[in-house]
Amino acid sequence: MHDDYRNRGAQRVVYALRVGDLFANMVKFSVEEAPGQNQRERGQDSMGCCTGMQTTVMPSKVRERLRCLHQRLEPEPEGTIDIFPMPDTDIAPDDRRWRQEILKRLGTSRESAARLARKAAEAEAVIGIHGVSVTAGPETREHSRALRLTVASQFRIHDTPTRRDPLHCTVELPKPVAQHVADRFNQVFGRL
Amino acid sequence: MDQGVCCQHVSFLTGARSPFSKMIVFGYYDGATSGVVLCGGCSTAYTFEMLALDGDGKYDRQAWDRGEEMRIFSLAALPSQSFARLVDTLTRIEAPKWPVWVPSRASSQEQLLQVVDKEVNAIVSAARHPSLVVASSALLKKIAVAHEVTTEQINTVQDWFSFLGLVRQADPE
Repeated sequence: MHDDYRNRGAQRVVYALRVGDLFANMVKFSVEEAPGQNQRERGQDSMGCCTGMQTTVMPSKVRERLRCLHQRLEPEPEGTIDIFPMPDTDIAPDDRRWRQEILKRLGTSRESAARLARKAAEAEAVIGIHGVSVTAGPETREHSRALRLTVASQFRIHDTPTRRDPLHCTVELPKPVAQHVADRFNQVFGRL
Repeated sequence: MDQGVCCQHVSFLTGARSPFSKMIVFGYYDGATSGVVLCGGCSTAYTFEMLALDGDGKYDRQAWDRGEEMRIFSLAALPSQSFARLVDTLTRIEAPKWPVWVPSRASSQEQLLQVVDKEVNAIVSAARHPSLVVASSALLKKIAVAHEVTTEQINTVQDWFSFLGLVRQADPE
């Protein structure tokens, strides 16, 4: 969680709502837990447009309230609705760049668990993060892409700038890279 | 590295273990894309730049699937002592890490980074024109193909895989 939030004495937990398998339609909600255990919730679509709705809820009711809030935004959602807390990220969740940034991964083919595991191990050896490369910078070669927000709903993202690519990031993968992890990674980047 | 393998013997590099023993990485994307390598045989340093990579396993699907996709690099020799000067300069940011060192870009050292960047740029810009192109999945491990190149070729060749005689596999059905 970003230091700004810690410093304000309020804790912010970010939840994401995923409708069916459509990651692009994912809706993000942040819940601010103020002293006294009251919480303020706010819905945002995946491009960060605030719905303007604010209520106070108890922690135990967060998931239920988020589901209700989403149903008001989209009364007849297609597919199932998943609610899950988003992993920690390196920067504030309401940062404009964070919300709108598109991460690109070279190539378009589905990547095997073995390939991702090897690349992650190599990265861990030299940059200290068990993960694979993406960039938020311009990319003219064939690539697949995903919103940073979408990737962050599944994996931790580290900003790992290099001299050549100040927008290079590393998507951290769990160890070992199991098949279900590779499936999730490929799904996020639309590699089917 | 094999004893006796040296970057100066280009005709023996194809299919051989890499002559390079140390690498400073400036660009990284699932592996080094640019930086400086040091020949363990003669201590010549080269800047390297990735010219192409087999991004989807079109040239070797199995190698790509293992995470050992082919990358093609140009190499341009640096004046003697350049590698040592680079190490001295970059050590002001952090201690070196061998055989592969990716110097930190931590923003907490912004001012120092700017000074170091200037010095690094000055050292690297003294490189000659690229004289060598190599295909390798890992520059410190094995060289698949090595070929001398002219400046004109560097500026005009479009398909480096074909230039090095690497054949594209048929697309899977």
